Amino acid sequence: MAEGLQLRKFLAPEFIFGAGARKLAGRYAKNLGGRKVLVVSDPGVVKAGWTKDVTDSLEAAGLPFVLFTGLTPNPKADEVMAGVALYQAERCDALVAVGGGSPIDCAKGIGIVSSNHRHILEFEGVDMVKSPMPPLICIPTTGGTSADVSQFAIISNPRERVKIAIISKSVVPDIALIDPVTLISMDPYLTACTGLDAMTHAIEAFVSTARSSMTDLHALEALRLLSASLIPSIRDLKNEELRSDVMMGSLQAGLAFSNAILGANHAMAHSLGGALDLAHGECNAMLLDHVIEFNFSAAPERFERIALAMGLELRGLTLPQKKRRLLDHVRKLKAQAGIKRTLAEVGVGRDDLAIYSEHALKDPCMATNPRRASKRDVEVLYEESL
Amino acid sequence: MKNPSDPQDALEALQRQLAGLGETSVRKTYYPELQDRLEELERLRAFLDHSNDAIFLVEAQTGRIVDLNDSASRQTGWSRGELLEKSLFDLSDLEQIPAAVSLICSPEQRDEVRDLIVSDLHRKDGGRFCAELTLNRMHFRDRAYVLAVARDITHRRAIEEALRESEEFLKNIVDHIPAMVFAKEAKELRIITVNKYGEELLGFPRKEILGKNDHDLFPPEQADFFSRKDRETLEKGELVDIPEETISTPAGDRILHTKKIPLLDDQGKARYLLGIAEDITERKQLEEKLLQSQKMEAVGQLAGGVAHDFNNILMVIMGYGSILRNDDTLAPGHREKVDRIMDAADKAAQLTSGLLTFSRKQVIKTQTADLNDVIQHVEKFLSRIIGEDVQLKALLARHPLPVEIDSNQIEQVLVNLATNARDAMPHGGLLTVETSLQRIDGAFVDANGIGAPGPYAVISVSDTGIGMDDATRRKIFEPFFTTKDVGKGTGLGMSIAYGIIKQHSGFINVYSEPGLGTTFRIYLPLSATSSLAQEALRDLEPPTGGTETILVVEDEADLRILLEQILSGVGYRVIVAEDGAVAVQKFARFPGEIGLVLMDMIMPGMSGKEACSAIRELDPGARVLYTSGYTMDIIRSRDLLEEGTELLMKPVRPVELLRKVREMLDR
Repeated sequence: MAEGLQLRKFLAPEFIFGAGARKLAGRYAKNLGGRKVLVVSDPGVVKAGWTKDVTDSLEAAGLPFVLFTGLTPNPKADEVMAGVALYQAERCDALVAVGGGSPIDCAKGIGIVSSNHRHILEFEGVDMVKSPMPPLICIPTTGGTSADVSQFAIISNPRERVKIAIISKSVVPDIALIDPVTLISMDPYLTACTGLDAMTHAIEAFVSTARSSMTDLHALEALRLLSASLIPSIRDLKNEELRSDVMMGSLQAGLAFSNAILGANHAMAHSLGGALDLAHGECNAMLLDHVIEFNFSAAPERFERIALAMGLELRGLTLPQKKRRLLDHVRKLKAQAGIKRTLAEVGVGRDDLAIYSEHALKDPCMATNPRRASKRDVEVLYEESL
Repeated sequence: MKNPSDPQDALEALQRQLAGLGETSVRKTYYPELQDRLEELERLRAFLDHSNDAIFLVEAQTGRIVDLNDSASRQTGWSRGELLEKSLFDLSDLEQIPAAVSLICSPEQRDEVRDLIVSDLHRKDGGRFCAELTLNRMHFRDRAYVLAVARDITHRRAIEEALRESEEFLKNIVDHIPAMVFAKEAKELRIITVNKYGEELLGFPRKEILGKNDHDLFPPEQADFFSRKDRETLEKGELVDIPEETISTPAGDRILHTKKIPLLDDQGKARYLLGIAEDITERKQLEEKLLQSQKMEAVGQLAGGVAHDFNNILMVIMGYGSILRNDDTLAPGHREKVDRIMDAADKAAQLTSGLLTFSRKQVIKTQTADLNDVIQHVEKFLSRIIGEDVQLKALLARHPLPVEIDSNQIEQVLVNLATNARDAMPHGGLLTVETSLQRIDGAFVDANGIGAPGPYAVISVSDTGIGMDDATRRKIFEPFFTTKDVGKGTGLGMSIAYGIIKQHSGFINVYSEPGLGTTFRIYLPLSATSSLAQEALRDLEPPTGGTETILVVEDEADLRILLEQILSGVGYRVIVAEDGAVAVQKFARFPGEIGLVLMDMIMPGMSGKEACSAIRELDPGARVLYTSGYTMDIIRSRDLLEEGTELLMKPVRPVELLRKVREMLDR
């Protein structure tokens, strides 16, 4: 596939990075022509006070708003539709998402449905969103899912117990206000999950079959930043500089994967998340080393460069040794981050693996995995992670 | 806040802007404008949808519907989606209307062309409704469209139809009213409407009446009267009743009872005049007749009453007179005076008898008598009455004329007539009494307005007196009517005579011409059952015709034609002439051929007498039969003509004419 694709597209939203960026929400909502704003957030973020900063800035700009927080981690289809109902009832014409992946993906879902007038689940797939959504401003408070810059929206379908991936350039937000200050309120677990998610983004983007030199730049930089600052930031939660680096790392990873797409790791993590409603970051982390091991042979020199970006010393080592070094590093990273659980410990049953594997194979992310995986392969990977 | 004009701040501001941190720095700014436009669009759609009319935007040339409003969908029953797949022609009858097809399908750039077209629109359920469509050709971004706005006019149509029916109904009513109904406008009094009765009465078709005023249609005096009354009505502002007014129509003068009513507008100003006129001509005629007969009746009653009482008083006078007369001890001088009293009483009795007769209170005793005998009997008496200056001539019918009469009464009538005749000839003259037989037919009854069909014995009494004018002649039988000075006559004589004849089931009429004379004709029913009548009746049998040539000279066209028809009907060859001069010419043209000249005595230009002389110069032996209404004329003319002339009375009775003609030809 890589050989067939000579052309590469790169799309990044307009974004402002820096402390205080969140307070520009009002200005940009106004500039984008919004007259009434639906603010999508979750209770945790509200509690942390970041939502209020955003709504204050809206008020300062003279924009009326409505707050929608009726969502759970892994935004569900019904929550999206409820958000749409509120959006239409209140005659809103702009969206502002404040929070992690859930509010941002939910806001994306609301935007898609309000412009396209169909049920959110009908947009599963690539380029299914025909009409662009209303103006969307994303203010991430995790470092992170990078949903604030990506063309992805992942929505859970609890009835089928799957997660659907909506991938479209029109899903990319209009403005991302990336404020590292908002990371301060994250606890260690959340910091670890979101940070490792960011890392997985970077790794998968780098080895993706749709990678390009543009995305490689961002992926490697992301790995460098995250490797240097993630663990320390877990240890020193209040360190703004470290948080800032993590945020930047997440941003870079987001730019990379949004355009290079992902791989088996995310495909399998989506599958689990849809079925078991598990934290996306933790799922990724649990699978990461196994998937790296599986993929290594398909792109050894890539993984070598990943290892180097992560600060590993590989001089004089043979390929298998390099692989060993990388895998050990990743495992150590997981342990340091506090991700200790295995799939079995979070409720994944051996009997369900077949189904999970089927779903994982259907995920679009699987298409850009460096190594072709069969159902059996995926099952084995799940098994190894149990 | 720092002074913005500070150069350092300015630089920083610029740097911030370059970094994309300016207030309005955003890649896509068309959202606000888009929002506005979208809102405008939504509002536009909302108000289009709110329209009660169905609005379609249609592609020019094909008529395909490209947009529509809510009402369009609602009124036609199809959904928006379904309508967008149709053309306006599918939904309507526009295809059959050339103007619509031309407007929609014309490929030319015809902007601003518009048309108002009525067509049915079809509904999804198969129904249809009538709509008024405004079609407007327009342009939008290089594409030609037609804006079609359709208004449901079912309701309006129903109202229009109801209105039309109502108007038709009203018009029907007005046309069927058995009186003339008309309306004029108040300014110039021109007729703006008239009903059927009016058309027929006035004798003009409607279109020749409308727009004209009375001065265009009627003689000036009538028109002036009408207009005056019109103005009066309009000024008064209320109904004006005109019990009688005369209008001239092609069929003659008619008398109308008219009511004129002003029609006021909301401000109380008279805008129109409504007229209702009833033709009361017949009624008036009947009324007159009734009045006449009532008068006669009333007078009769009075007279009868008086006479009755008077008679009783007379009886006393006559009784004692008689006793006195028979008294031998009466001195001769006294006896004479008693005789005078008795004579006077007799006369009085006669008078009352006449009055009673007139009032039909007297019972008459009839017997069969020959009228000729009656005349002969009374001849001497009549002579005495008329005096020496007046000559009496009696011309009796060849055959007996039996009638059922009270001879005394009839004699009385003749005496009356003779008296009047004498009074009409103060310097002398001729009185002729003639008897004849006549069969009265329906035509005669219709023409003269009196009589009943059947055979009649006729007494004609003619004088050469001063005659009567038409007005006098009409009133001659009226009681108390007299032309004599006060005290010189009761004016009852003719009424009594009339009454007597009426009691005999006969009738009497009179012809007169001032300066020429008067003829009274008394018709008494022939006593057909009497044996004496046979001879008379035999004479009534249809006369024979002939093949000779007859020259008919008559100035009155209708009569001329009638005479020709009568004569040619039995085989005669007829030549006509309208006056004396032409008669002479024509006589000259057919020398020796003309067997008889039938000539009117009185004609304009050359009179009958003069023509006769001229003809006699051409042929001294020419036979001439005069027609005239007056028996005296021929007598007069006898001064000039001796033989070969006869007189036929008018009105010409066909039977008698033919008989006379035959008789003369046979001489």
